[in-house]
Amino acid sequence: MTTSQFPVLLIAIPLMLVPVAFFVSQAKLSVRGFAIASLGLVAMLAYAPLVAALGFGLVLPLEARMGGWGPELGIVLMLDPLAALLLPITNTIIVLGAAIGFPAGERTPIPYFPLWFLLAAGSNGLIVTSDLFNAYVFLEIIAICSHALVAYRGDGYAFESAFKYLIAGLIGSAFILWGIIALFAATGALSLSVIVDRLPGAPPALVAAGFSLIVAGICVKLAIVPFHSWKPDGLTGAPPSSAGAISGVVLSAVLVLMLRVLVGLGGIGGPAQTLSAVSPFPVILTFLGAVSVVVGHSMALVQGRLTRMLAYSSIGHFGAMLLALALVTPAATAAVVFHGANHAVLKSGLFFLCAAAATERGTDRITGLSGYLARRPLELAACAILMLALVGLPPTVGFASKWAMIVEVVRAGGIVRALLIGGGSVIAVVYYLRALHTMIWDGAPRQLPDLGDPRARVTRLALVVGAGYTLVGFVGAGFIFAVASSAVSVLLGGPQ
Amino acid sequence: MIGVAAFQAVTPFGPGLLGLGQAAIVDDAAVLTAAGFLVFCVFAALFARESGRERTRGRRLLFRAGVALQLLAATTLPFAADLLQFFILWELVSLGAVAILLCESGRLRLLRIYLPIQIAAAVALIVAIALHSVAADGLLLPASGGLAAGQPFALFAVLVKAAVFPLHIWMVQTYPRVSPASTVILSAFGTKSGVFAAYRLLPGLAGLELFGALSALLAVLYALRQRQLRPFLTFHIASQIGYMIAGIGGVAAASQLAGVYHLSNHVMYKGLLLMTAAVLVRRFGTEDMYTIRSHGASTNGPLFAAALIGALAISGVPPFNGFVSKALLKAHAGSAASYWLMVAASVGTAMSFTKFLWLAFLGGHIHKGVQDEAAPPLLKRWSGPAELTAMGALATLCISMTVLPVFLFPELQLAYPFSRASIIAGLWPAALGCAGYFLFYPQLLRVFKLLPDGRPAGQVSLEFARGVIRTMRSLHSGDLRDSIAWMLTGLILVWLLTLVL
Repeated sequence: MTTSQFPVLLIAIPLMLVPVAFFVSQAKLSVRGFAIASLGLVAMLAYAPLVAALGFGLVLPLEARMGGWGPELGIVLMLDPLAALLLPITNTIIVLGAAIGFPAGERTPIPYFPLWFLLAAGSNGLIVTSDLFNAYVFLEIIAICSHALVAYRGDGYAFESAFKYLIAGLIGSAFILWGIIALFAATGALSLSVIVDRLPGAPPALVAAGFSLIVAGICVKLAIVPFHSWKPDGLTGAPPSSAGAISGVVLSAVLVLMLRVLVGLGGIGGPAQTLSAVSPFPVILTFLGAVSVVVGHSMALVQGRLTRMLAYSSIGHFGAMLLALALVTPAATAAVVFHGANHAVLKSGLFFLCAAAATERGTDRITGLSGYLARRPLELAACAILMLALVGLPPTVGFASKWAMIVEVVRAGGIVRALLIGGGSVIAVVYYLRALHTMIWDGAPRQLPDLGDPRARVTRLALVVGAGYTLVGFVGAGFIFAVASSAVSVLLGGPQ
Repeated sequence: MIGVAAFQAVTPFGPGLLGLGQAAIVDDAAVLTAAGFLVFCVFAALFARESGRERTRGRRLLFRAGVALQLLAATTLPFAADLLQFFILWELVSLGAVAILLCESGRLRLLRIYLPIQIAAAVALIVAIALHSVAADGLLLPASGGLAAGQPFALFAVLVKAAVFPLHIWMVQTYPRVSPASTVILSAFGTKSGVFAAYRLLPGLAGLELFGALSALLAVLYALRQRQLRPFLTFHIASQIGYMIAGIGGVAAASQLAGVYHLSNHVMYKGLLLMTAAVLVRRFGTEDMYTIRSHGASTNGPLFAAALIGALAISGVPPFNGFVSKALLKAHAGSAASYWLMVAASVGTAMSFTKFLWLAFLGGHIHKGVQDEAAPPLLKRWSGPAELTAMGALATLCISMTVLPVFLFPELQLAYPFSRASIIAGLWPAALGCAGYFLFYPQLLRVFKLLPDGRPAGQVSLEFARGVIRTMRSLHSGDLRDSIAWMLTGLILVWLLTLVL
């Protein structure tokens, strides 16, 4: 196997480990150590491309053609800077999420770790795939395991959440599948690089229908208003660690798909514009993004449960990203990539904290968590840093990326968009500070931290990692933004 | 430039502080503003000494610290040439105000209004500064011409900080609710620093002149309705700030300088009026002008003289300082519309200060429609010697500042308005307003009552926001059928937009 076949490992290893983990867990052995170690191995592999590209002169993008299909249908895995940036983040989240959410008892109702291996395989696959049909397949793999992860707790509430998530996920997948079919009918190809070349000669009506279906489907997956109503319900019944993984990993993977289709194929115009001279999608995305920012943040303001609040806040963040993306300048798109990567880290970090708090208190109501952080300086510091970053205040990486978005948006002439993004942050200040205030000052800490539970230690590790990234990323923001910029230039077919 | 030299000789707060020596903008506007602040603060502090005895020791210290901080920051701010220094000083002015508000009894409620507003303004300003620094490749403030980028954010920051009419509600809800001496101090620095920021950052911004003139008029209409003394004066602050903004929004440099001159004049006469209001409130134990009126004609000559001078100055009657700056503002008005808006605002100002003098001092009673209050017992003494000294000094300044700038600012001297025509132009709106009060006030009041009220407007917008969120919540029913319907609606929407576009 040559270097160019490397991306396969990211998908194949977790896939192969699924049955192993399944049988090991069926044998009622403790699989925790084995599973975490294997997931850690995958995560280390996921760091490899970024490290190799930065330190050892590996030239990205790395293209792997699989299975000897023709160029139109070919299974193409593409390891470009976008994938190199996001893979380490998503895989780290998966390792930590699996370790934190591991059920306390030795006997697990349904196999737990196979789901996480599947999630790793699916998300890695979606991030590196470069053809539409495989994207759909990986999307389904992600969907199946994340539905199971949501339902994992097994009570009625969890099943309701999972059912809503399932139906919404099916609708989203159906939209995307129809869109892929339309694009295939228009161009006769599934590989993105071939579709780009064939789009100019394709029937415009079919192309527009394909793109609009894919946009709608991705909006369902990203929970953009008005496609969003599954998300708060779907995440509330899930164990918060699974919710964190869904927020961090699944949304990032879908964001990659959106960037590949809309930016890479020129669906929203830009230098690689291949549709009609004036594409309708900037306007549509602006509209959807604006509504999402407003609805997401103002609904987050009135939530009583921490997970719901975080879920609505994600809607607002993705709305802001759509607003910036719709400007179609490469710099604004790079800022979106940067913010997407940060959002994954920050949001899943907060969900992991929420998982620890909910395990101890038995609820994720903000009032029920009052005083939780009072005697926990590490958790308190991490929580404050993550929340500051999500609001977009310095000195955090969240400030850097939001700042980059606002500056690029203003530079491209979108003052109103900048005001919307900034206004969302102002609302976010209110609800995050309120939650933080309750979790620190209201009420007394009922119980000292249980140091014996290994999950608490992992949660701390996760918080240290997240907060560390948040602070170090602020210093190295220029570097991350440079990686994001090169990712966008590769997407746009620029110098490779 | 004589003024610059003189100011540098006398003040310790000017250039040189906070490392501003290397990069200070020393121009007429900066000197005029800083000198106005400095002189006013001396007398305001003198005035506040007497009521300060009623405070506890800790509060007194905090109050003094707040006043000192505001003075220091507000007198240094005009000279700042570096935008970050400018921002820090702008924040220090707010911080001083916070210290003063902390000395008050209802401090939590006051800060709940004051702090978020100031933070919002500060955030907008820092965004504007950042955008400017990107566009101009540096943090230096251009000596003229304002910001190179980020004007919308700076505009928001300035309009909020300066409490220009539609964004003045925070001021109306804080300034009248503190102790009278604190109102005197607060009214000088915070909003005026905002106005000066408009001069530095957004001079001659398109549309600002007309906006300022319009807000001057609208704020006067609101002021006319007020019965309570300090809310009445606070609405007049908003109105006068409208004049300043109108001047600063003018294209001509002379117009912008006249706006700053009006700022400096305003600090004097509004301070004087608030001091008389403070004494009246203490003496009569009420803010209500009609209750004060029920005590009959006031016999306190010096207080009446102070109120009269303040009222004449704010109404722009010659030969008081308000006349000069208003005449200059009108002379340099860029359009007929803004000129006539300013004249109309002058008529309204004269009318409302006729009402103030008539009710609070002359014990007048001509309008039958307005209910009288029963006279409550008199509470306390009139003004003490320190307070009288302070008021006397400010009253003297209200007269002397009429001629002072002639020697200081050649730019203004060119259009110095002591011609017969300008005197008549200053007198007739005042006379019209004075007569209008006696002839038409009840009819006008009925019209003004149709205006949306300031505080209910705040409540209405809050209610509106709550209603929007309630609607949103009811749309998020959690019913799966609704979710599916929304998703299909979204798809149809995307299709429709694809078709239309």
